[in-house]
Amino acid sequence: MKVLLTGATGYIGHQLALALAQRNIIVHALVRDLNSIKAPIHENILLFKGNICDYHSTAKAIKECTYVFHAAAYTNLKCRDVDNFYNTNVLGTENVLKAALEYKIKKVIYTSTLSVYGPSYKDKPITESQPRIASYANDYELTKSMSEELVKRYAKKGLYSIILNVSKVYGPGLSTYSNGVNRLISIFARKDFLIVPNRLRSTSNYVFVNDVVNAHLLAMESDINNGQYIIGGENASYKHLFSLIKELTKSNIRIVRLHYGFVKALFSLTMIIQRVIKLVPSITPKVLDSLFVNRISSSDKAKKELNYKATPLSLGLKETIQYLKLTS
Amino acid sequence: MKLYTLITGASTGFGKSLAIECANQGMNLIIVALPNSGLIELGEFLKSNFNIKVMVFEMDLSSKKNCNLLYDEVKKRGASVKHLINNAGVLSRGYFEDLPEDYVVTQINVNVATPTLLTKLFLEDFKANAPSGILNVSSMASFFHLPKKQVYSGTKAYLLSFSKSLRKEIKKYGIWVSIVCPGGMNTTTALCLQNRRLGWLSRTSILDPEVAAKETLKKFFSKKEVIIPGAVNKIFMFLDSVIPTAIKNKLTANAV
Repeated sequence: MKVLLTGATGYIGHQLALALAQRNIIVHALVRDLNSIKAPIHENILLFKGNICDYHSTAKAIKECTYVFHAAAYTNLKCRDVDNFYNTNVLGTENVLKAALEYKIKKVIYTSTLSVYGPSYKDKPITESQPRIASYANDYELTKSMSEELVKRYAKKGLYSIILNVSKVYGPGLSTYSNGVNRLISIFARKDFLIVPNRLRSTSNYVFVNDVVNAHLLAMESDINNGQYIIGGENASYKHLFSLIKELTKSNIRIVRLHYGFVKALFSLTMIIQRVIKLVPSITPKVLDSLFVNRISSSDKAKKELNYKATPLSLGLKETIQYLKLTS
Repeated sequence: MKLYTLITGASTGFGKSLAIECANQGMNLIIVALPNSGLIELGEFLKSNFNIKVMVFEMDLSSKKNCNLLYDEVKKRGASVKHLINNAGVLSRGYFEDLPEDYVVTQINVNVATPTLLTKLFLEDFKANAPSGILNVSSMASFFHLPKKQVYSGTKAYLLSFSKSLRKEIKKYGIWVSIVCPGGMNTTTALCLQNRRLGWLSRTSILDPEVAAKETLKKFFSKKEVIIPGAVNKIFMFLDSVIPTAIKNKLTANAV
C-alpha cells in the first residue's frame, strides 16, 4: 500500500513517515528540498520534490496512493505576515484535498492542533464539541481553523477525512519550533538557572509523539470515515511539568520567577528594538501569551472510538530524556 | 414563571459572544439560530457551565411562519421573555447588480421583518416583565454608506430609525429600546482574515466580539439609546459629524 505524506520534514511528519515505513507501507513524502537534512530516510520512503502550494506537484505525488496524511503546516508564530500562514495552511490544504478527491483517496488524515478550540473554560477540559469562546489569538489558530472548515467542506463533497487535534507534543524526533518541551528538558539538563514568568499554574495538555503517530495509524485503520478527535496526553501545570523534568534529569536548576506583566513588557520592548534594527524577534508578546493560556483537554472520544491510548507523562518524559542524551 | 433573554443568531460571532456574556451574568437564555450552525453545542456548553436555564431553537427566522412558531413554542414551554436581542442578520455579499433576487429578499426579511415581528410578538411579555429591554443589533453601516453594502446598510438604517421611534413610544410601559452599531469585528474566519490584512489604522478599529459584547451589554443595561462599541469607532463617528460630505464621499469612494 502507498500513502502520501505532507510535512515529512516536520516534527510529527518525520516520525510518522518512519512509523509507516516500518509497517511496510510505501510513503510518498512530498518535500520542498530533496536534500533536506530533516527528510526521513528509509527504503520505503520515496521523496517527491514539490510543495502543497503547487497543485501539480501534489497531484504527482498522490498518484497510486490509498491514504493521505496531511501533516504539513506553517507554524512559525513569530512571523508577522498572515499570508505565509494562509498560503500553506489554507491554500495548501485545499490543494491536498482537491487532489485527494480527484485521485479517489480512501481517507485523509489531517493533523491539526488543539489550539483551534481556544483556551479551556475554567477547569473544564476541552472536548470536541466545545464551542470556541475567545477570538483567534494568532494567525496560526485562524488559518488552521480555516483549513478545518475546508476539510469539512470536502467531506460534504464525499471525501472521507479524520481531523486530529493534537495538544503540545514532546518526545524523540527532530528539533523544530513545535517541540518546546524537548528544548525545556535540554535547558534543565544544562543550565544553572531559568527565568520564567510567574504564571506556573497555567495548565496545558502534553502528548507523547509516539502516541500522536499511533493515533494517525489508528485513524487510518479505523472504520470511521468522518470525525474529529482530540489527541492528547496528560494535563499538567508548568509547576508540575518543571518538577517532573527536574526530578528526572536530576537537575539542580534554580527557577527564578518574574512578574508576568514585566516579562511581557520586556519582550515588547525587545521586539520593537529588533524590528527597528530588522532582526527576527525572539519571542513576541503574542507568543508568550499563547504559551501561558490554559489548555486542559480530554481525549476520551479518541480513546473510545479509535481505541487510542496515551502514555503517562512521567514515562514519556523519561524516554525523551534518554533520547536527548543519545542525540546531543 | 421563569424569565428569559431571547437572542437570535446566537450560534456564531457577536450573537455567540452576547449569549456567553448574558449567561455569565446569570440570565436564562432562549437561543435561536440556523440548523447545523453549532447552536446545539453552544446550548450544551451554556447549560453545563452556568447555573441557568437554556432553550435551544434551531430554525430559519426568515419567514413570518417561523417567527410565530418560535413564539408559540416559547409560550408552550411556559417561558416569558424579559429581554430580546435581535442579532440575526444576513451580511452584504457584493455588488447590487450581481446579487440574486432571493438573496436580497431573504436579507430584508431577516434584517428587517424578523426583528420587527419578534418585537411585536413578545410585546405583552415585555410589558408584563417591565422594566424590560430590547436590543437591536444594527451596524456602523447605518451611518456610513459604502458600495457593496447597499441593501445591508439600508436594513441596518431601518433598525436604527425603528428603534429610536419605538423607544419613545413604549417608554411608558417601562420598556427601553437600545441600538448597537458595531464596526468591524473578528467573527467569521473569512472576516478575521480580511481584518488581519487591513492597514494599521483600520485595524485599530476592529474589535473581538467578546470585547464588543461586554461593552454593549453594560450600556444596554444602563438603557443607553445608541451604543457604539470601541473607542476608535467613537472617534470615527465624531469625525463623521464634523467632516464635510464632499470629503467623506471622496474617502468612501476608494473603499470599493
